[in-house]
Amino acid sequence: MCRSCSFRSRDCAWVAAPGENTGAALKRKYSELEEEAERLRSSNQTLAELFSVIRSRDEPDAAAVYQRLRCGADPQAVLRSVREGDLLLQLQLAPETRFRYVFPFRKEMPTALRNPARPYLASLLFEAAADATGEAPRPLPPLSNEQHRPQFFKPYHAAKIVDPRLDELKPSQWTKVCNDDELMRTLLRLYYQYEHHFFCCFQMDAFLDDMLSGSDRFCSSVLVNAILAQACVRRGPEIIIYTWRNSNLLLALSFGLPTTRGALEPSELGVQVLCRGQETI
Amino acid sequence: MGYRFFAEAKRLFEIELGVKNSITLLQSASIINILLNMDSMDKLGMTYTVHTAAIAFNLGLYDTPSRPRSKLRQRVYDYTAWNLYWHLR
Repeated sequence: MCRSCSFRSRDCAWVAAPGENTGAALKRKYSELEEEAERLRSSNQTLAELFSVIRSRDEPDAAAVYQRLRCGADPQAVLRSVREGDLLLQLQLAPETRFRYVFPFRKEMPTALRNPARPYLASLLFEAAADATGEAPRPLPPLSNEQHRPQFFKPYHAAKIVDPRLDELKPSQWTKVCNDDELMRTLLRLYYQYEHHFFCCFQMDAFLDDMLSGSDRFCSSVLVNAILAQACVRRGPEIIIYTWRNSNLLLALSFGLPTTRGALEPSELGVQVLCRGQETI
Repeated sequence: MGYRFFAEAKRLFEIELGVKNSITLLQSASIINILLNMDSMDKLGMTYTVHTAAIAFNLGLYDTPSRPRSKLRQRVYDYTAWNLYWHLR
């Protein structure tokens, strides 16, 4: 107890711990206060940022943030998920579908090959490629122009499989591994787009029809599981975004979501994820 | 995730192999085969190739059918036979 406190006989605010002299106690108090101030500053910054999110985002986003805050979520966690959500949105931007790739080191065709006798020079493919090299700076052809020959103007990954049957399937009838139909439909679409034509060991129409109707003539659990296993070989951004959206974070990680340990939210992900780290399929 | 589907497929394959040979079983065996090959376990994958050949033989995939198949069934059989030939050759 310090002298002035004992003089005024009131509780002393500067009590030293046993075996500590007054100077050390002062130092301890000071560093404690400094830590406190630091904590307050960072939480104030978080709140200000969160406030600006609510103020500047569009209605549904702001409402979602507000809702999460009301549910008692940690403001820091909310802010972090908003930031990471932005990164994912950037991933999800639709690519320019009329984009063409160019050769990396030399864009022009070598003059030795520019022989008018070559049929390639007259083909549509070359015309498209020449467009892309910018030799003749023509604007990209309008979309209506490509109605019947999109394969010359678009990269393959800009395409998407459209089949009404694929939207109605319920793969969970056929497999016990997973009960998320939407995820498995996405996997099937990826399979048909990227794997099937490389090794097409079953007939697509008969398989889809029977999978839909539940008949086991041309569809079976073994086959469905095997196909889904093969589809998982290809991990597209579609799957990562899907799994992230549905806050199935464990699954997103198993599909190779690029994440650092620092970015993980332990309270949301649990300890298992931290142990699994960057494990992929 | 992929591994779980794969393990399930293999498990069901073993069960079904003892029960009956079907065209879907043959197709599954080919897929399991290439999945194993992709994981550079092609020795193990080859056993599934042997399975495909055996099932094809039991189904009479390359024989003239003793009784006529339905049009759809014939198409599926042709498709699979063609792929299997391409794969085994």
